[in-house]
Amino acid sequence: MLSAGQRIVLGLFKKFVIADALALIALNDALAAQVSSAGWMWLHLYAYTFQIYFDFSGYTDIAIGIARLAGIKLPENFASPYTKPNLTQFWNSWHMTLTQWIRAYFFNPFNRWIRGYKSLPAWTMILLGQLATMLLIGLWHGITWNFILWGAWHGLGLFLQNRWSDFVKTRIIVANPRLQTAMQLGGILLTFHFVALGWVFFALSGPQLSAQVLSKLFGLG
Amino acid sequence: MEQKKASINLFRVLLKAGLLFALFNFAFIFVDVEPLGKISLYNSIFPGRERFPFGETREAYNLSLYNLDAMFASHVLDGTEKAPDEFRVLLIGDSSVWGTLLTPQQTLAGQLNAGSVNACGKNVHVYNLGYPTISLTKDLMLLHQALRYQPDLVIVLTTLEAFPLDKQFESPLVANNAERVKNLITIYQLPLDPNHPPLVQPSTWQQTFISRRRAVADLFRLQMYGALWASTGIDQVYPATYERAQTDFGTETAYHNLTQPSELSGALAFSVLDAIMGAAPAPTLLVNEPMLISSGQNSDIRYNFFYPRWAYDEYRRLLAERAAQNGWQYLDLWNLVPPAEFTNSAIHLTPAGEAMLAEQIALNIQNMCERP
Repeated sequence: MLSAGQRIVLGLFKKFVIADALALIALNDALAAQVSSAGWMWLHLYAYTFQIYFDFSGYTDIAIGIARLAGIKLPENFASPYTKPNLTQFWNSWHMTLTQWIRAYFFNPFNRWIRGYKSLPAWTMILLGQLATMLLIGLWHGITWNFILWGAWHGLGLFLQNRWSDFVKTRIIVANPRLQTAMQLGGILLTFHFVALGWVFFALSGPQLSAQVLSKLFGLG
Repeated sequence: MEQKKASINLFRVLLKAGLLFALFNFAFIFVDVEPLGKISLYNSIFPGRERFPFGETREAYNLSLYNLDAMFASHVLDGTEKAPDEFRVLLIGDSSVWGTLLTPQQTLAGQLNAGSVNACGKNVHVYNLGYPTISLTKDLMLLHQALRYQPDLVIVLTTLEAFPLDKQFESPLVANNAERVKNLITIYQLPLDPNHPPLVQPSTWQQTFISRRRAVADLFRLQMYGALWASTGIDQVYPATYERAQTDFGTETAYHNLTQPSELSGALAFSVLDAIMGAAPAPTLLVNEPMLISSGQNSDIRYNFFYPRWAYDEYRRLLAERAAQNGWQYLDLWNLVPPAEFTNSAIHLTPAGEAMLAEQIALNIQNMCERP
């Protein structure tokens, strides 16, 4: 009972205090057109990045807490996703109920099926598996070009991370603990910003506006 | 057994939380929220606002609040140290000064600043302290708070609608600052009733945290909107189209239930105007602001939505007479701007209309040091 109450209070705080406050300044279509400075655009993007997390995980906490009051144990849905050092770990800790379902009912069967095509190189199989899965997750959120682009962004990101990890593990061995920590922190920052840039497609209504915002973020617009 | 222990713990937690909140809620009665407004991210993290926060829609990235400390703390005036070569001018007035439908650059203050005016060998810098509601008491309240900013000149733009005694406390900014108004009544010995109903006198319950949560939340929202002000420069909605000011009228001739010129003088708050004109230790220029002079239906009876002709003519006569008696610097610009240069109200000007007004006022600022 106590832990259920704590969970509900935590969820209410995340949603109604943090997320709703961030919503005031979070990236949206209007701001995308009105803001011209790269620095402020990053601020609005960061606000959206944290708003969507606190909003969704807040709701999840409330649902988990209420279910506990009724004696039902719901699965966890988030596990500090913005602190993960790579994209694979991010997706293992973001909206976990969806990703676990997709993994079990689409990603794994798809991979088993595509391995039947022996002539395809391994990297192609990986690319197709990641891309198809993330496009499906994108379309799960809505049938729009921006959700497709968001899915493709993450699919390509997962593929590149997979290839990079494969390349690094056989060639680079980091023994220095400080360097290991630095690489870990670098990975967290890189992953966070990759995810944040992906939210541009998620937050906005169309590809043209998204392209404008991405240009402005890098001082090109 | 464990379940029983857990439920007892939960009960105690809820009881303690409830008691602590009740204590906090009632302790808030003794907290003065007003000074909290001085804590501001403006003029440090975010640039100060060019005009006071005002607005009720989220798209405006702005809000109306009643905390004068917060309003001033968010204003660029609060963050600008007066330079030795600065000739500081404060503009006081209603929505026409604040600049409804105008960007900060298009307002009177914006156009005067763009004009690089000089006075007394110094660079004129004009600050927009207009606020969109019409009441001389509201103007006095803002001016009184602004005196700490060392003005070299105060320009008060006003119109008849700011004068009726029955309108003095109607501005929500005035109505929700009862203590400040009482203070003004004492300082300036104003013949106003401090117990007049529009002044909100909060009960004990209305001073608890629950009752004042909106005021506290507004302080927080004002800071959040600072990020949007900083990134967009937008502080109001600029609609592509709007309904233009009314030019056809009925035959109504009463003004605030008055029907005779002889009744007008006693119904106007000239005592508040006297206080305004004497409040600043710097020269004060009084301007009767431009208004729409209609030529539509029944325009021989009414000048515009606000005024029947007889009332406005009498007001102008009374104002000119009072200005002459007191030796005030007075500009009557009531008919300066042609009807085409008004927007959605008989006192709201287009950018071109503001330019005409700015030209006249700039001439007067430039001549400040040449006056006796």
